[in-house]
Amino acid sequence: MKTKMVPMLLTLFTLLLVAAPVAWSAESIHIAVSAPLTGNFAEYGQNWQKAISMAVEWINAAGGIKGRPLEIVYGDSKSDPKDSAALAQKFTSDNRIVAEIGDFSSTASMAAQPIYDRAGMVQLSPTTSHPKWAPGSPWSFGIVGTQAGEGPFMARYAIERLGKKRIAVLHINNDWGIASKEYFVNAATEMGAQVLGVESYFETEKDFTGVLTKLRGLKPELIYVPSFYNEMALISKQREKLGWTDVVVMGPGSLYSPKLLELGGNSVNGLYTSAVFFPNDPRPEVQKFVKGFEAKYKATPNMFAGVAYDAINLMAETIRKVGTDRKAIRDELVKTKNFPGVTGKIAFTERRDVVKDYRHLVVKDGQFTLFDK
Amino acid sequence: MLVPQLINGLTQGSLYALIAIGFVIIFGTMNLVTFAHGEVYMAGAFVGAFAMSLWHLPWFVALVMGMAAAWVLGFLIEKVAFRPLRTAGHMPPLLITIGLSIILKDLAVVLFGAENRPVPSIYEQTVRLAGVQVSVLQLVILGLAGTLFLVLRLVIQGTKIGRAMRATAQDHEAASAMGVNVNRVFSIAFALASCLGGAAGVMIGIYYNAVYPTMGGTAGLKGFAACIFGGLTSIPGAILGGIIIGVVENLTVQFLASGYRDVVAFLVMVIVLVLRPQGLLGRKLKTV
Amino acid sequence: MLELRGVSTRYGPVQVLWEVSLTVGEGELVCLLGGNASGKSTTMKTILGLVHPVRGEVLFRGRPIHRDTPAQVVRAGIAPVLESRRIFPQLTVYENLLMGAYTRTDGPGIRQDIEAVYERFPVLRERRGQLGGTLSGGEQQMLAIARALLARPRLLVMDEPSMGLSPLYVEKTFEVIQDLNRQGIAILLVEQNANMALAIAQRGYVLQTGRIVLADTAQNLVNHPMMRKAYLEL
Repeated sequence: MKTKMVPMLLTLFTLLLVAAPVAWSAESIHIAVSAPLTGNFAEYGQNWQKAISMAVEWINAAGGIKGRPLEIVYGDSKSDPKDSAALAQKFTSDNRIVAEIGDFSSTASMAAQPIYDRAGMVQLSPTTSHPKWAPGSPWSFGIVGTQAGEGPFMARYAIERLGKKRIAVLHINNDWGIASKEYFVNAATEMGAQVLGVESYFETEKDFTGVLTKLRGLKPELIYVPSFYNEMALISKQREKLGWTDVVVMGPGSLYSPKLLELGGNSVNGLYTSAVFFPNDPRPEVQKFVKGFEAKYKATPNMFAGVAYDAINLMAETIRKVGTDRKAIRDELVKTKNFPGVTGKIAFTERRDVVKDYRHLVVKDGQFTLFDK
Repeated sequence: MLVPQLINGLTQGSLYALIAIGFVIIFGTMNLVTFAHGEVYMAGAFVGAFAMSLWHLPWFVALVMGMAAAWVLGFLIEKVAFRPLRTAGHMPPLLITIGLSIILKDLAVVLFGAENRPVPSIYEQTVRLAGVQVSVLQLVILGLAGTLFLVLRLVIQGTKIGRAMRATAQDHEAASAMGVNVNRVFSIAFALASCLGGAAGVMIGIYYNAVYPTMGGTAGLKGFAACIFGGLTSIPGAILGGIIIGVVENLTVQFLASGYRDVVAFLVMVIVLVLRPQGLLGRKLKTV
Repeated sequence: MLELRGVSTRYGPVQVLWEVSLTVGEGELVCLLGGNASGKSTTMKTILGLVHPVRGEVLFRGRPIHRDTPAQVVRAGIAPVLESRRIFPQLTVYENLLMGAYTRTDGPGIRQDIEAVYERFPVLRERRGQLGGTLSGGEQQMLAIARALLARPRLLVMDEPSMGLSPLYVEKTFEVIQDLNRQGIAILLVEQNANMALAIAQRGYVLQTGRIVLADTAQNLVNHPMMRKAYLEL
């Protein structure tokens, strides 16, 4: 009788823990997220939201942060600088909120930066990679790496690994795209390549036939395209349709997403890119994230989900160490030296951004594969 | 690269023209402007894209389905937004269509998601014509647009309902006195305009390989510009206007930069309107 | 044939017709006289179904038609010649005629009738491919009448057919009206030109600010002191 009671009680306990919402004795800890939940960049914002919600669920299921549940206050910025600045006003004046994660684009993050700076609240962006961003305020942090690191990496890839010397650039016309282009072009020029022409397009553009026709006239061996997977898929398909096949296409890690393969189909075969996040990475933290994400959302997480997941976990970890004081959180974050993120180790430089390890990738038979020539 | 750019512009422009004709038909018969036309185009594009990517139907079936869906949607919009307000002047229906455009766009985001939906590629080959490499798809689109222009002309010039539409446009009370059911003519005109917009949507989806909820915004604006450019009430004017805007855009990309394409296109439009306020092929409005 | 019984019509808050009653017999030519804004055109629009009366009824061949659509009215056998002609300026003469036959579906009959109006108005045959808007005022009036005939009406309702025409064409128009009436088509002639109208009509009504103030034979009306003072230039 007595021996049977123990497992039963244990089972009951476990069931209670899992099934019933945990009855929190303490007040929630609030973290704000400013992200494009609707609008042209909604899919990126929704990727964040999925990864962050899952991470918060896990944290709270494991008892929260020192017994206090974590709660996210989402704000939809549409990645529009007007909205991200307005959200910054709202978040910084809300005393419950201890820190902020966001925004998506460099433009939106930088528009909100002075507000977080004045109020003294951490603004940790999962994706902002403009080299001028994190140094812009002692309260700003970037974890995705910057084009200052990625640009030269891609230039070396194009020139030294692939041996392409005649290069043209087609970039998205926003802060991120312009910085991407500049770091790449400067590095490529230094390495002795000839940059034949630089063209840009606006975020909403879908018709690339004109600009591709123009670039084709310059007869480059390689086009470098700092863009997102949506436009890259269109650029590739339209390039194919125009019959422009004697050119190599390359773009930065922003392209590394299963969506590119899905949207681009055959046309993205042979595309060169890089990545900081691999779903197939055997490290346990990566596998835990990927398996959990796949089980919950029936989709493989992309880099955007990965960096958002790292951002929330890093923030939670920091708060666990120093509590909820806005200033204390900043001072602790700065010291981060060895955080095991799913997008690689996070260690902040004195500019409060990180240097990432990139991998050489190429699309082969509809899959991203390591380029190892 | 000049000839390929001209072909790019012509293809693009012929699709603007299809949208523009919708504005002309609606403005011409009902003297009203609809701001939901871009969203009807978007809806047609989505139906076409689903037909091809989910149900794996051939593109021409997808085209017919997209056109049919746009027809029905146009018919409903006319019933809901315009019919009850026929005597309310210009403003109320205009505002309702702005509202409808937002609702349709947001509905599409909710139903289909904000992201681009891929559309399968067709006619990926190219052919050489007089030494110039031309995309077969571009030729197909040009051919289709041309066919639609012709069919539309035949309907409007050569059929009873076309004649009733023109008569209604010129004098709806007199047409009514002749026994024309003016409400029915308005319904059909609106549906026909929407149907052409839907056709343009399906074709643009195929051409750019993507459809997305916000696609109606710029397309509607360009179509409206082409319609004004051509003189508001002239179908040949709208076709000409659409093609000129398309070609100017692509020449801007070639000789200036991609970012200036819309600026230059609208600038040319403004200059034309300053020189010819009635548009390219428009008549001066009669003061009755 | 046509009977208006106590018809009142309003546009929004403005009442235009007050208890208007009139009749047009089979094959009769009746004129409805009145000055500007007396309600002549509204009477006509009420008959044609373009506006609906708020009180009273319109009977055509014994059947109420005041709730009918214009298309139903045309099919019942009433065709309009509208004020200032209202031909379709951007349709050809031929297409204008086809619009007159809009409610009909008998192709051969329509072609035959078009041929017949070309016989009656040779100028229309000459100009059949021309846009309606390019015709002279008089020619447009002929076209408007011809277009109405294409509906094969039993009753023609004509609104100010003489307005804005040269004296020559006024004369011609009234000849045509008389001629059509002789062929058995009943005509309700709404006119400001009381002299000419009473010369060819059998009976007449006088409308003043929306009310019928006189109803009599044409002969008696010509001699009525009020008519002589107000409308007839004698």
